[in-house]
This record gives sequence, C-alpha cells and structure tokens, in this order.
Amino acid sequence: MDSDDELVGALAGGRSGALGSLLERHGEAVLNFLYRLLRDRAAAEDLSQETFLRVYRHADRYVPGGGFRGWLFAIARNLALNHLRHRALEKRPDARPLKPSDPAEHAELQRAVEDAIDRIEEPFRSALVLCSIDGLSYEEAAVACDCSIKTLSSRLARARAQLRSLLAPFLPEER
Amino acid sequence: MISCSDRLEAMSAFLDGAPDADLEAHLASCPSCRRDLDALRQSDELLRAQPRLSWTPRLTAAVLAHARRRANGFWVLPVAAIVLMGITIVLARPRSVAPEPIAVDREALADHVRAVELLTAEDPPPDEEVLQLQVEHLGLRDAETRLHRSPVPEEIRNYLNQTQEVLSRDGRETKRFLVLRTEATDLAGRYRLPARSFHPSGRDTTSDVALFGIARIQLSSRRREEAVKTLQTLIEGHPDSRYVGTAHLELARHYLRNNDPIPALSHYSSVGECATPQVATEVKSAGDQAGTVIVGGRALAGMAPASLQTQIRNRAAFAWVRGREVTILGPKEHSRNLGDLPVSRVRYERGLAVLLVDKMEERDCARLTSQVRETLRVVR
Repeated sequence: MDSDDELVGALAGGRSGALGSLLERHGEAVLNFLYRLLRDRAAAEDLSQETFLRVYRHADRYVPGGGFRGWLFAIARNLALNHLRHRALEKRPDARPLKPSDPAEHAELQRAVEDAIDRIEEPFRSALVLCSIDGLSYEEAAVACDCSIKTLSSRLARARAQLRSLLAPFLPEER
Repeated sequence: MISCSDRLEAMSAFLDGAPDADLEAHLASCPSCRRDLDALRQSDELLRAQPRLSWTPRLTAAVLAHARRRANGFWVLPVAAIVLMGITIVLARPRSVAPEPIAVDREALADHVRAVELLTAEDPPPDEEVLQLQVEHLGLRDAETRLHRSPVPEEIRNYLNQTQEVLSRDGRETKRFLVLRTEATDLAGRYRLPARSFHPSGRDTTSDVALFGIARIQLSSRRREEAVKTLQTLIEGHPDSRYVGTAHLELARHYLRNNDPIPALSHYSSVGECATPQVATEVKSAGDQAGTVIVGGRALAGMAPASLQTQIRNRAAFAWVRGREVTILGPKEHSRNLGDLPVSRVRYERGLAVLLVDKMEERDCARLTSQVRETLRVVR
C-alpha cells in the first residue's frame, strides 16, 4: 500500500487517481474533525470536500517527511476557523446531535458531550479533538494547530480539564 | 516539589501513553490525583464514544468530479445535496426585511446572475452543465448566509423572476426544471419572501407529494399556520400516504414549539415509523410541559422498536411507583394492558389516555413495582 507521502507525490505529478485513496483513508477523520469544530453537518461536508480539493491543488507544496496528516488537518482547521469567523455574524444553525449509536437512553449524554465540546474554546478544542478523538500524535496535532509540541500538550491538558468539569455530572460518583 | 494541581499536563500526557515514573509514584500515594486521572480518562472515553459521521461515496464522487473539472480548467464549487420536495415556487413582493447593515457580497451575487444568464440564454448549456451551475449556486453557502439579514437585493428578485420564466417555459419535470425549482424555493425561503403559488401546467397540486412539498416550503418560509393547514389537509385527504407519519411529526413539533403539549402528544402518537430516539426526547419534553409522564402506547402494545422499549418501561415503572400522572401516548386500545394496575381513574383527552395514580405508602411501592414489572414483562 502506498504511503500518504507517495500518494501526495503522485498527485503533485498529475496522477489524480491518488486522490481517491487519500479520500478513502482520511475522508472520515477530516469530516468528523470538522463536525466537532463546527457542529454543522452540511458545513462539515462542504469544508471536508474543500480540504481535499486544496490538497489536490497544492500537492506540489507538500514537503514529504511523514507529516501528511498534520498538513491535512491544518488545511481543514484553517477552513473551519474561517467559516467560524463568518458564522460569528450570524445565528448558528440548529445543533442537532448525531444519531446515537445506542438508543434513546444515551441521547441526553450524547447531547451533553457535544455541548461540552462546543463550550471548549479554540485553540483548546482543536487540540482535544485531534488528539483524543482523531488519534493524532502530538507532533501531527502541533503541525495542524501551527504551534509547538509543548504548547499543544499544554492546550490539550487544559481542554481535558475543562471537559472533565463539564461532564462531571455524567461521570461515576467518586468513592 | 510539584503540587498536585501542577500535575495536570503530566496526567494528560500519561493518558496518551507517555511513561512518567514520577507521576506513577505520586499516584500510588495520592488518592485525589488518582480520582482526577480516572475522571480525565472517563471523560476521554465519553468523547471517543460519540457517534461519528460516515464518509460516503457521494462525497468521494463530488470531490473527484471537482478535481477533474479543475484539471480541465473549470472552476466549480463543492456540490451540495439537492433534495427535491414541493411544487410551489415562491415569488412575490418582499415583506419586511431587517435593515441590517451587512454588506452584500457582490461577487457571490455576480456568480448567481451569471449562471442565470447562462440558464436563460436562447441556447442553454446541456443538462449536466446546468446542474453543475446550480450546484455552484447552492455551494455559495457563506455568501448567502451573509446576505440573509441584508435587504433583499434587487439581483435576487431578478434572479427569481428569471427563474420563474424558465420554469414557465419548460413546465415539465426535467432535471433542469427540478433543480431550478429547488433553488428558487430555497432562495425565496431564505429571504423570507411571501409566497405566490406557481403551478406548472397540468400538475396535480392536491396529491400527497404536492401537499407535503408545499408544507415543507411553508415551514421553511416560516409560514407555520399555513403549513399546519396544509399538513392537516394531507393527513385527512391521504390517510394512507407514506408522508402521513412525517406530517404528524411536523404538526407535533409545531404544537410543542407553541407550548401546546396535548395536541402535540396527540400527533406524536401517530408518527408511526418516524418514531426515533430524537422523537422520544421530544415526547418527554411535551410531557414535561403538560405536567405528565408519557408512556408510549405503542411500546406497551409491543409495537415500538425494541430499542425504545427499555426506556419507556423504566419511565412507566418510575411514574407508577411515584404516584404521578401517566399519559398513554397512543390510541385507547393501547391502554388495555394497564387494566390490572391500581390506577384511581382513567380519563381520555383528545385521543390520549391519561391515568391518575394515587400516591402510595412506601410498603406498597415494592409490591406495585413488582406488579408493574410483571405486567410489562407480559406486554413485552
């Protein structure tokens, strides 16, 4: 299987077929990252498409070295932050939670978790979503957030502390 | 010496697998930090347990199509999903518009107008290109959002008028017709223009599909009272239509928004296959408004999806033992399963059975809980 670097190299060389492999490999992660930042499914779908089109358009700017995911999520994050700046002028769309994987008894909890993510400010939210949900390494997430690894680690810790406070009512009782 | 409160970052890194002998030693002797670490770990687990969106073949196809077009020198914006519903085109004078001083995005509008010029040209492009142009419109989400609160621009009215001309000329359900109609409807709704019906020749406007489409447009244009009438017409005129469940759901939500829970519950009881966990949450909210505990009649009759039944059974048992009022959501016959329970009386209100349960002594609770469970087991 081709590595991400090889696929981006193929794109830069004009072989657009490599885009399909990148979509298959990273499409869902980017889509969900954007959804967690925007909490707007339609916008997340639009921006995830735009993210990959930018990868396609700017493949020649990518410097191989195993940092593709960081680069990819940096593009997605920049698009999301731009979108959020525009949306700040407007009433945000209804934030309906995603259909839960389990039935109704989890709906309240799911809503609470989504609300909690929503209440964590940028840039802490990006750090949390990238590392805790999408499983990026600190190095990759630092590239995506355009900061040092030390800063990323600090942001992640603060985000986790805030998440813990927000979800405290849903965590098991302390013994 | 590092204090407990300064160990947050170390605990976060530890959660991600970073070895930290110092922290481990501290954890062994500090129950407070152990609890903190557990709480961090549990909240992380809740985060990861969230449902995820799926990347669909539609999205892949859209990206690849755009990439191909870009490679060929075309500039095409992302594809938006196009859902076709309804047959009414809303075009008319602008109603009151908020005079928000938000700048109109002339560049975005220019794209709209350019597309209309192409669409209304004597020799319009083939269907696929028309579709792509319209898709480009729908992709201009940001620009349209910014336009939303500004005065209805002349360009938009011109666009809608030109669209109507195209529709009048075609008058049939070509792909181009459907796409144009959808976009015109979307734009008119977005700018809150009052509706003027447009019916292409020969179209049956009383079919269930048409009524449902009209109602959706009325809802999106925030003409809720008109939508209520249309939905009621649909339900009464087409009782077997596949849209009836959704129509009941829309009506239920309308009444719930208006703080009128009893008719809302009545409609919720008829949503049929549209019953989802989200609906269950809304029903609970309606029950709270009405000061009653809602029990799904369909569940009691063994008709609801199994996934909903546990929650509903628990809620019923809770309500009964606490002596609260219980409303059976569903037709009267669904309440027959409660015949063995010691309810003080049953009244029926607009099609719903409402049971009144007396408060009871503690010693009776265990007996009744067991009786409830047994009954529910039988019902199940």
